[in-house]
Amino acid sequence: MSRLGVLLWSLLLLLGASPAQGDWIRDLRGDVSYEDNLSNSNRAADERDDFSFAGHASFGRFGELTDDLRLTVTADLDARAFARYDDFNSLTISSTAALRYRFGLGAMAPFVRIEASGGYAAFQQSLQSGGRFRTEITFGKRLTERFALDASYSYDEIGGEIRVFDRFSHAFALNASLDLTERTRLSAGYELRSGEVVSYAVPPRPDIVALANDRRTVNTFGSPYVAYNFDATTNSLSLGVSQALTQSLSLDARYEWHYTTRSHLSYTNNVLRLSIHTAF
Amino acid sequence: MSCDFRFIQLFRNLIVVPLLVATASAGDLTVAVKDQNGKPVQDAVVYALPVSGKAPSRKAGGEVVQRNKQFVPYVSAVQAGSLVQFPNKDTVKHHVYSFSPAKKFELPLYAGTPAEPVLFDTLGLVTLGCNIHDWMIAYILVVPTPWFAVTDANGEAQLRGLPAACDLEVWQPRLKNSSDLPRQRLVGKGNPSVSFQLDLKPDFRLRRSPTGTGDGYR
Repeated sequence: MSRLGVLLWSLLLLLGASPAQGDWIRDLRGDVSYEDNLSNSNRAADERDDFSFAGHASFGRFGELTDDLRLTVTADLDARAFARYDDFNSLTISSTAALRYRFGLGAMAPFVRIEASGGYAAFQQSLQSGGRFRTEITFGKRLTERFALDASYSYDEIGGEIRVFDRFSHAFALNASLDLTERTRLSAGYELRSGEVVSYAVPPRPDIVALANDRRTVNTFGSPYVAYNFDATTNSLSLGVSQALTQSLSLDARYEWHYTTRSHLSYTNNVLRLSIHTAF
Repeated sequence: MSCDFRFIQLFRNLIVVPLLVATASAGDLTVAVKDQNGKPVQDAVVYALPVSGKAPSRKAGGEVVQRNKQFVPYVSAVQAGSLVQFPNKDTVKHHVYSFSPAKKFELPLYAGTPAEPVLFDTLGLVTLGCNIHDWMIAYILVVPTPWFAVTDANGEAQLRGLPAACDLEVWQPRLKNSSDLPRQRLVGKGNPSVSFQLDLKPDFRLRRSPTGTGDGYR
């Protein structure tokens, strides 16, 4: 049985076994994003920007297995559409299971959370379609009523129909959040990612060819580009603000800066995202 | 505020206490509580301490309900020695706890009403939390007197059958200086109403709304 199949069966089993008096998870989120370098290009002339619109739905349950241990199981659906570059339009179905252990009572108690998710993403450009697998472990602690920190390690596998779009990565992240008021939360994060990336460039680029694990000519951006897969390191910073509108509705804005390097190559991404999130 | 709990308080304040202290009663009193801006203050506990120092024991049961993943009432008061029930009216389990020196206790994951109520026998403030839903918070003030009430949305509380001479004190969760509570002395049957002005901090409670950042809630 494939890894995806195992995950989906596990989800069904876990949903069946989830605590009868657990809580339902019904999350919906919509967002609009702008990315200034969707093509991950390292030459300004090759960079392509675009807006995208996305919807995300999660449905599942969480409940307490013991006083300290929480199980969360969800089925997730993501859809994203781009304003210009349709090849990136995608629909992803996945499932997630997470265990959270809390070392003590109350909101101030530190916790560790282990999560695994898997699924399948179908892209308009089918070459990018493939399985998704992610595991993550997070340690967190609320230091004061208003301030919380967490640190995480994650491993990602992104599959494609061809090797160029197969990627794996390891990432370490640190996140902090500060509640300015009961309704307004600021957040900041740093992430160090090491793994494969896909970068697009107008050929010829012998400098990238020398580093690439694989490459493929595509028409994603309306003219011949080459998609290169190579190993790289990405440093990311993020800033966010989340405004609660009601007990179950919030409006979030987020800015991300990514700087990716490999040898003499580097490229930068700036991403702005505005989202509305409801949990009911 | 829970209708059940209000009824118990009302019953005690309107019927039990006046009957028992009628011989020494200074009458009924309406207490109005306002903040530094003159706005009515809800959820303030007003209680009377007899100047004689002898407060009768009228230990009435209390109740703090969990409903819609909130504690109801948010603020309540009991006389020391009272028993309080914590019925769970939600369809999910709760895990109620307190770290407060006045009463440390834990009611591990439960549904329905716990078999045994919790005894509050030490004076002071008890802060309640739920280990499952971090935003849930409530306060129980354990007082040495049967004469107490919690202000309503209009910032008013009624005290019945007060002793002839007593000191009134007021506490509220947002009070800036909770180590030195506002106090007024009442002697004889004077003015049937008294007002307090409190210096309050801004309200802050843990957020319940979803966030895009993730905070270990799940």
